[in-house]
Amino acid sequence: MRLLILQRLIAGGLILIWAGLFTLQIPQGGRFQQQAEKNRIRLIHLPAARGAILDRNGVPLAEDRLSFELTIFPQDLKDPGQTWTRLESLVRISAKELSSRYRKGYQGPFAPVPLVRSVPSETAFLLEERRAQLPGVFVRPVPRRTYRDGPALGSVAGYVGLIAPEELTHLQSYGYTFRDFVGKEGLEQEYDSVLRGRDGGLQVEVDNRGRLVRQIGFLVPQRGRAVTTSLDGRVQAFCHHLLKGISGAVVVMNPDTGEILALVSTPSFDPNAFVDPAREREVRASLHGVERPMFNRAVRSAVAPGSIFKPVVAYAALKAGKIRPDTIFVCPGYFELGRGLFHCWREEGHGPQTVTDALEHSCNVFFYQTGHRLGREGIAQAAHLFGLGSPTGIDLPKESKGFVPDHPTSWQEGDTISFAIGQGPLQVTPLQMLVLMSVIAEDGKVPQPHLVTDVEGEKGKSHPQPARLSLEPEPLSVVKIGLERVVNSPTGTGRLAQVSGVHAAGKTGTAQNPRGLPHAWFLGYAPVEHPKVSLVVFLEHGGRGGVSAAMVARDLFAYLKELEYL
Amino acid sequence: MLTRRELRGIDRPLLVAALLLLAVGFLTLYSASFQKAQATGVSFFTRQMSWAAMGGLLALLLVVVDYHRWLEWAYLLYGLNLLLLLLVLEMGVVRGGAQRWLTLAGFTIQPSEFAKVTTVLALARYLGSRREMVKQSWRALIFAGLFAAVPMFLILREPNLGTASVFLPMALAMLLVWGIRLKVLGLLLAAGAALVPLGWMGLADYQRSRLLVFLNPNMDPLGAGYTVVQSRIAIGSGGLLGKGWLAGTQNQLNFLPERHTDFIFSVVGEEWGFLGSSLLLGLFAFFFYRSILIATQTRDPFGRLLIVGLVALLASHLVVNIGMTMGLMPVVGLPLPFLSYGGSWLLTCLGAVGMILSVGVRRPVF
Repeated sequence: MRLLILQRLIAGGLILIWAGLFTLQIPQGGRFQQQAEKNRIRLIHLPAARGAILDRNGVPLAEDRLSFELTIFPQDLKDPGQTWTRLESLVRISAKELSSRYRKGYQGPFAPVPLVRSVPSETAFLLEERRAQLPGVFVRPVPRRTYRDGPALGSVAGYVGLIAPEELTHLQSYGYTFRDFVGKEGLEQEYDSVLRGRDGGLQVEVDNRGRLVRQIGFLVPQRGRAVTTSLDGRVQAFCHHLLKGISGAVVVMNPDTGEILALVSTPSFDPNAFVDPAREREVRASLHGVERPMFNRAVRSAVAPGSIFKPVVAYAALKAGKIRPDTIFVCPGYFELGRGLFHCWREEGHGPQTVTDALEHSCNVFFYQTGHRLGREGIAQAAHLFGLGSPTGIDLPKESKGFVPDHPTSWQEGDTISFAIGQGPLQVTPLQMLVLMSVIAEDGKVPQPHLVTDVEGEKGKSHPQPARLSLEPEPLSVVKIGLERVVNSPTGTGRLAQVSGVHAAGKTGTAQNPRGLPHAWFLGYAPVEHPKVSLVVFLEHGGRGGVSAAMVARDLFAYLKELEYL
Repeated sequence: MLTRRELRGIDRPLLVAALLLLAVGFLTLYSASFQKAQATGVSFFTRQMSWAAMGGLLALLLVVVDYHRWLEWAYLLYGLNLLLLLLVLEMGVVRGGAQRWLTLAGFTIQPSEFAKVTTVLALARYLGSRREMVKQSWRALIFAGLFAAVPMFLILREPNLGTASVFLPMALAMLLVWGIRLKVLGLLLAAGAALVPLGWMGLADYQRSRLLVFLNPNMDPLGAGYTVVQSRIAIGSGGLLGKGWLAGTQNQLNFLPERHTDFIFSVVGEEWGFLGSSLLLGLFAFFFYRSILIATQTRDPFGRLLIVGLVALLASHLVVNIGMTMGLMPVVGLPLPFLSYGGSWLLTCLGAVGMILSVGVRRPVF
């Protein structure tokens, strides 16, 4: 009968399973018992402290401080409900929240569950005192990344966070694991391999309830190495303060050595928030904000330079003999080319202008004429000569290289006219312009901008020697005279940047852009005779460079003098 | 309704076997989950208790009411269940990349579990009333095939390969007992085997990786193969006598993922050893034996087909589930009858017991 067939099929299946069970448990049982024994060895992860980031005076900008973490050891926890209510008043977190954090973090009786990442030391002591009433509750010191003056540092320091899965796939071969905190953005990312320590661990044997039986091995965690930067924490904070409520960037550099004193981009973010689970919302706002706080404008923002590009055009035209120092173009307020009419920023015009006048007044018409003579290729060549179109090589991630129109698909004479005053397709970063200005200030010496000057355990962090451009001294000195007058002449566009006792030179820029108010630029150095400091101020949609940007530069010059950098 | 005399005719050995299986299930579930319950207050054990109580009531209802009533409603129930499956695809809860659950009045249910039983009911009704069609096997086959194929297709879309595949042995067993010509059945199996490569192409990536890892669990010991490797260690290390209740290190130290659901047999194997596991298998064997005995004794073709479908369902779950914990079968996520945690599944199992007993009470007494 058919039912018998079914019965036999089922019996056959059961016998098959039973035979499998037999081979697994009886002949191979011993081997599997050994493997199960091995499974009883557990590894407790001991995180290593991350190296500090120091400023030029040895002040820690970022360091790992010990913080007290409230942890639950499940195997010792007696009465969860009661424990949460007792903790509630001590740590000021609701019992419900504590209980849900515990449930989410629970892995097994042996694995400690961190409940509160950081409790104040007074609370830590209180908890220690009441340990008898709170079985299973422990306070343990763990290293935690702390940034002094977080928001001022965010854009240059970056932050640390748990490694992302896609990062892990290409970092795995370097010994990174899924629970590692890695540097993201800024110096934390650039110097991650130096800053990160080597995590240690404790090998222990546990019994079937997960209770510790004995310790087998111990690997001491190794602290990461510190890096010393050329930043001055005070200048950094001051620059951040100057840009309060504004989107933009400020970079201050020693034009001779390329050491960066301050590098600020706003709006910024507080890297301290990224290691504090309670500030998750703030982190999300930072990562996805429309203002793009994570975007380091100093090295990644590629925009039109506007008039701060004029010194390049002036030098190139003088050198090529297209104009002479005493060549005069008359500015009636506009320039006619074919059927096109190109305006000067000053409607009534500047009248007759030499090249130094034109730099001082930022006369557009003079540079329309000059650019017309020089041609697109001449201007582009000069832009490349001064480093535009290539990254500066600063030790920060994701630097933009900007854009120089070398092989435009469609180009008309009018485009050359705009190109000559730094408009059109030309794109530069604030840092590129800073290097450019420093090259002029240093008569052709090209500084390598850098932040880190010393790495612990490495003898003298070496940076490429400054290269030298063979700039012709005469045209250069003409340009520098113009730049000096920008700040110091009563009719100079940058006169608002004047500070008594500081002999500065510079150039203002007001870069038109399709998305709103023009970007305001100020580019300068001081003192004129022996430049010690060069700086760039870039204000997104900041209006007139001669007003907003020059005023920021003035405050900065004054502060640098106060600190005796000038 | 039943008379008291009839109720006395209930198949006691079968009832006892089912209760024993349930008891073993609770003991094992306790061992697999008490630490987490103590630590976090989430108790699978107490939740399963309430499901069991519900399942008990359901079984009682099924015994007391004549099963012909359910057969009358078979198509309706089947249709309603298909509707639920459609709803799952439309608005179901997504967990772990699959959309298999519905939340109704605070309960999360898995309609694909119930579909197993409603399909058995519908098939029993269809085949039971068509004895004369035995000779035109092909036509009956197409209709019977459709009854199984529609829910299978919907469940595959969730996706849930394991649950969908269990419809095959179930339908084939019913066709076999119904009296399909063996030649036809043979042809069917051959055609099915030929379609395997086509099926491979229709699988999702995770399903393929599971099958590949099944062929070689060490291929990915920390990923898809981890569960199987650890489960084999657990069962194997149980040895002859086992490590004792609550004392399995693999289980208690958290080396067995899913140990309260699909891998609950690993806990049995580790803590009760070969001896205990053999007894459990014996208990299942006895349960199936008694059920088939009832099917032999009843003269009602509907009742017989009903039992055959349910037995085939439970037996294939048992073989595939235990096979997968030992690495003999791919990990397809079929729960173990009576032992695995899960409300819908426990209701299904206890409902099956109720229906088998219901046929049993109404068989001719001689």
